[in-house]
Amino acid sequence: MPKLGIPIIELQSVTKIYPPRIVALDSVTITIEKGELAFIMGPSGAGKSTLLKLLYRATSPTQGRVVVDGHDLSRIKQSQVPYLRRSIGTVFQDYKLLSRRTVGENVLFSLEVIGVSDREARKRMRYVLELVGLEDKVNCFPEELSGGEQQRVSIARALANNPPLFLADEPTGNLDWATSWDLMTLLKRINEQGTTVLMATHNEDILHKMKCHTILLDQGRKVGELDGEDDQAPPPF
Amino acid sequence: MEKMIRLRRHFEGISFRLTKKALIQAWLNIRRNGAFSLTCIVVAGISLLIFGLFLLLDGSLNNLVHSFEERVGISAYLKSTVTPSEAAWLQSRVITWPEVEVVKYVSPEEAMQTLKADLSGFEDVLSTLPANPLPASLEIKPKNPSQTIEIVSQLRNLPQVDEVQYDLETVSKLIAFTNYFRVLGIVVSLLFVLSTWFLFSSSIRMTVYARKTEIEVMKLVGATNNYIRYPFVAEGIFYGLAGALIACLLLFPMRSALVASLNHLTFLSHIAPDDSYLFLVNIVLLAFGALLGAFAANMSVRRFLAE
Repeated sequence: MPKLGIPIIELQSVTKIYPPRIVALDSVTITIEKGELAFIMGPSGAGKSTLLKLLYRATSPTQGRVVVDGHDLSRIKQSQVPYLRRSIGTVFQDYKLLSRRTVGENVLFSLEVIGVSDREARKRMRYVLELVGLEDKVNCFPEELSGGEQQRVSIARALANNPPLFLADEPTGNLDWATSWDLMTLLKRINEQGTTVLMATHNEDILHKMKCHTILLDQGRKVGELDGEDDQAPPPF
Repeated sequence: MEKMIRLRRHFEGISFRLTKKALIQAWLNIRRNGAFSLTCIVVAGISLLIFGLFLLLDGSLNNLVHSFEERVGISAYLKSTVTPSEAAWLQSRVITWPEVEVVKYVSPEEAMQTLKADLSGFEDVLSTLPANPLPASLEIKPKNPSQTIEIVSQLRNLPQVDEVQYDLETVSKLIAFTNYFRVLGIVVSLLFVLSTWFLFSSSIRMTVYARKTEIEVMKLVGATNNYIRYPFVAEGIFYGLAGALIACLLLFPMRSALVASLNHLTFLSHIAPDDSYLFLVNIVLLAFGALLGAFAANMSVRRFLAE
């Protein structure tokens, strides 16, 4: 998907300090444009998760400005936060699937609670489960699935509402190499359909294979940025 | 215009759907809580019943005070030498006093009849008397109870009047007792309501904990706080209403018992609360129960929504 030159995420000198004095992010400035497939790369504790949390406003910056799709997040009211989150699909590190609901119900649930009609929700559910290749697991419970499959349910749920922005926090963390690569292919497909994708990872192999816009974080500071201009098809596994 | 109507229908559709879902979810929560839900309802029922009983007794006392206030009257007993025509002349004079509202002449025979009615069941005792010992009297009602003393002193100056009696003191004592009873009733009811509140809160907090992950996911995928709150508030309202319903149902036989015991004493029979008062108490209990449940639920879920 070509970049459109319009920023969808802007962090301007963002600092996040957790009490008492843990600096998670230190004056970080980044811009992600609409249509990008971008990575935030860094070792554990670099501030990747904090950065993503700032974007769906699970936390607020100590200093600096966070702008998502033109909205300054420090200026939106608490009551508007749900509507911000509806435009961001998020895959969490720990998946956050409901263990007492089936794969299908997990996806339906996320649509139901934002007021999508039952018929429309079923249509969307079938579509996204097909997209992630889990259409035959619709009646399984999460614990009956492998780690990679659970991950894909979580992706399906994040995509169900067709959000313009897709965030993934360390999605390859617990997966073997082959499964991770499948996942990358899936993210690329999602990106090609017009969704901006931002993924946090510490897996350098992926970075070398994907050659995308990458922001390097270490101990809360931005230590580098690769623009990934020489974008090329990933080598076959 | 047509667009507006379509838009309105759309939102009405949504809110109806949300309400239905919230109610279904609330019912599932209540059933899952099982015995604890039942405890909530029973305790709410007992607390509201006590509150209701207090309201009922307070109503009776109020009626009693009113009936005494209406009867705050002055009895001027006439000397036995005063003839009925002299009494009538006296009556026509007293009515012209500016403080006086009503003057009524009560003949010895009428006085005896009233006494017989008040002592129903024991009237035989009176028939053993050789002659009617009761004097004739003028029953005077002041325009304002505070002017009683003034009227009494004027009556005492009249040569035809033997003795003057008035019951202002009884009324003020009764009012003092009613106030005391009211404070006691409010304190006791408050204690019971407080324990109900704690029970509601813990029950709903249990539901909230059981659905903690769901609530977290709901928040992260963009459910509004109200959407998350509704099922819990509905659960609280259900406990409150169910408790109030039990209290209302128990209040009926209790009122009947109260009326029956008051009817033994003819002069107190009219102070029993009537049907419209009982109806009012029922409405108050239902509304109070529902509000109590709604507020307790709101408080319990608030902390989770603020995170």
